[in-house]
Amino acid sequence: MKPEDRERKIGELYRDMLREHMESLDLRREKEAFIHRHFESHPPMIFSARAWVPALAAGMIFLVVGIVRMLPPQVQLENRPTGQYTAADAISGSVQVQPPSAEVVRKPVQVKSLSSDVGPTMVYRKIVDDVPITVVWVFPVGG
Amino acid sequence: MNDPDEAWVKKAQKGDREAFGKLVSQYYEMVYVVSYGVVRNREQARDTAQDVFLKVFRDIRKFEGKSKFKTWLYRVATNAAIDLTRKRRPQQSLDATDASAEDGEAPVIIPDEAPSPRDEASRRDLRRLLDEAIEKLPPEHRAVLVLREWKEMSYEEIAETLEIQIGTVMSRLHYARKKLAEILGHDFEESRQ
Repeated sequence: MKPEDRERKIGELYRDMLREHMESLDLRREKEAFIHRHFESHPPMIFSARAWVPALAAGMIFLVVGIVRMLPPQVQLENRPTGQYTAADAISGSVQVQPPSAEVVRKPVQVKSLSSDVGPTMVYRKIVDDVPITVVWVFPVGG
Repeated sequence: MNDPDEAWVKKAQKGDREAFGKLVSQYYEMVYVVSYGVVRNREQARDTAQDVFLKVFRDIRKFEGKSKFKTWLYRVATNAAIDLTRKRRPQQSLDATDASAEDGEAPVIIPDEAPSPRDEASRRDLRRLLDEAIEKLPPEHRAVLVLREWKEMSYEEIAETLEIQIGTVMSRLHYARKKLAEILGHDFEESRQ
């Protein structure tokens, strides 16, 4: 074989080998993935669903918890006879009390003695101007 | 100089990533095959090719247009592949024993007719021998070989790409082919006639 023929044959063999190697690969997919990863513009993070869905969920939870905490506590009223109330039944909270009427002011009541038939503490609930309040009487020297 | 990639390059120089993506799309296979021709390893060739594109994008403002973009890209790719191959392992001796002799295989004579299973086996053997022979070439010679044989570049283009003299291109190519023929030896002479 002449040297130039030999070189040509080696060249052919070499090209065949590279061609087979290239055909065995999925270079196109690899290339597209590479371009997508590095050279395609992606929307800013704030517009991506991956960012705003969790943020929205967290916001909703915060909103719901906030609303619940802002609600006034539910008061369970029971219809019990006045004498059955105890100090443990006292309910904390504020009740807007209207100032005494002029008629009441004009007629002061003098209390000479006060006693309790139910013990040193008397608790009962009453309604003043449609507002339920709890009244606690404490008798320091006993009932 | 009329560079078909000029418009994309100018956009990329202004930071347009998508414009550079067009250049990647156009030259990915070519850069890969040049890398593979030198490093001879699938994963390393892929990593080298991708690193080359990232590096070229990073440095694209330094590209002054004195050569075509393609030439500059091939230069970066070839140099990166040569550097990697040098770091990877010391160059093997070119006087290594012929692989077929090590295996104790008898020469295979193939008639010039339709390929038979024996032909296929012989062809595979030749490919393996060629592969081993290329492994024994220095990376600079592999680079010249792949640019010439696969890209069909002229001596002048190879010289410009690798920034070497045309005489150096010719001598490296001659040396590479001669060594391959020597390593392939008698099997190749008989099977290819």
